[in-house]
Amino acid sequence: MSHSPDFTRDRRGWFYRALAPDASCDVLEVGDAFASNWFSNVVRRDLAEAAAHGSSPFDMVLLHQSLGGCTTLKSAIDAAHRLLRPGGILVVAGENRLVSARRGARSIARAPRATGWGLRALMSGAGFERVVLYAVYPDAVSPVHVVQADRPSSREFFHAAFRTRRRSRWSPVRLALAALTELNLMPYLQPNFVIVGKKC
Amino acid sequence: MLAAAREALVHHGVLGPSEELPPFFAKFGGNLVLGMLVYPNSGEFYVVKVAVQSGLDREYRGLSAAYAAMPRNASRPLGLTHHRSFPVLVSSGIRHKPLIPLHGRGSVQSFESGIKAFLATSVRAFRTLPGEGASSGLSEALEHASTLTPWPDWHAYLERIAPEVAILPRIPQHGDLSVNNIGVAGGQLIFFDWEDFGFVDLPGFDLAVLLLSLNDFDVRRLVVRLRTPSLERRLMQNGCVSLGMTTDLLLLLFPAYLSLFAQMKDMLGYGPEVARRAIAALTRWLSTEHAPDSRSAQRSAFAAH
Repeated sequence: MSHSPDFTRDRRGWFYRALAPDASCDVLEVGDAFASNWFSNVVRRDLAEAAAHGSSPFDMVLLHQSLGGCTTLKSAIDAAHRLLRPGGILVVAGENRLVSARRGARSIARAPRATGWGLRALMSGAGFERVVLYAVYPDAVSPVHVVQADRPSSREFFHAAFRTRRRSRWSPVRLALAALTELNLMPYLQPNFVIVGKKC
Repeated sequence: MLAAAREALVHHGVLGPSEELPPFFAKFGGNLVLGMLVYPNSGEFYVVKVAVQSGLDREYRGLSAAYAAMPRNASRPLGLTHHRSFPVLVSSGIRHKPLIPLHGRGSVQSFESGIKAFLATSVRAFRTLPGEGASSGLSEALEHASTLTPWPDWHAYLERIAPEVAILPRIPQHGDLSVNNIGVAGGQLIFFDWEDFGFVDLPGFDLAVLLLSLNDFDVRRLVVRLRTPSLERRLMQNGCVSLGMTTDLLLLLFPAYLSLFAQMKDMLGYGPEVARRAIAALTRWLSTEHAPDSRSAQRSAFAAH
């Protein structure tokens, strides 16, 4: 399937385009369909099926709130690794296990679900390098902000976000949020994240 | 886009040639621009904008003009370059607090004096810049608004304001001087987001947008605030002094400002919702006592205060 990129029709998926080397790279899209707004060479196929039957290698695999027919997150990441060219990028948009358990029915069935730390370990263990975790707002489908979980960026972002809220200086909630921000735990406590890794 | 951002940072000497893109957070703006705040180890941070479809020339021009005229109130532009077919604008970041909420009397006074100074500086420093001309765009903007707003007096209104507009100096406007685009750092106001700079050069436009944004584009609330002693009323009075125009003229031009705002947002690709909001505000304005055909009533209402 090939389309001319359309930047204006639907802005969902903008961060995937930001991550990609260019708009003409070969993309395997798993989950909701909107990559074709941003890329000209998009294949939509079940991940498990593509991995089982062989497929041309891709520059980018997008697992958007879906395991693509795989039974576990680990098997999905392994399958994606097999389908990528060396240097190819895997992007997983999923839910935070720490938070999704509290959200109950609002969680998406079969969405990739793990803690930020767990997902990082899975990606590294599967052979991905330069693994970077991002917290997303307000959700993974149409994030307004994407925040790299490393301390300098996440600290600035969350401090700025909390400054706009009206709370007294010594409010326990404010103090707790400030402490979590200083400890750089805030990105790991957000409901949704995107994790990106490059195949070695 | 991230690769283009990294290459631009290397180009401006912020990163070494082999350094990775430092930690960042990003937002994809309504005008199809990826805006990033990038945090290298140096302790400073940088604002990087990557445009998907449009250029960033206008913003670079605005930011450069602003930094030259008021270096304490605008971030320093490092340059506009092209990488991987994307225009990329890099500027140094300024750590600031959001303007809203305004806390305490000192904060309000500092806001008022900062806006007054901004308007005075813009009159002095920007009027010599080559603007793209609001006078030519004004009639188109009003014509466009007339198709969306049922008001029978559009033609008469244009005829009425034309001689007033003709004698006003052309001063390129910031274009989106909403409270969201103003921060506070070291007691100074910091003005951000110059991407709409110079699209409108009709004086008073920035002040009108600021007054509207202070009231979340709720025209009825603004009208009440302008009628009574309030921050908005003081901003209008002091702002008009800085701009060298009367408050009557500013109020007369409000439909023109809103029409230009709607047209600009529509043309610059902000999506229909923003333009719709401006048109809704315009429709509201024309239903208040400040509609241009009830000027006598308006004058008496303001004179009473």
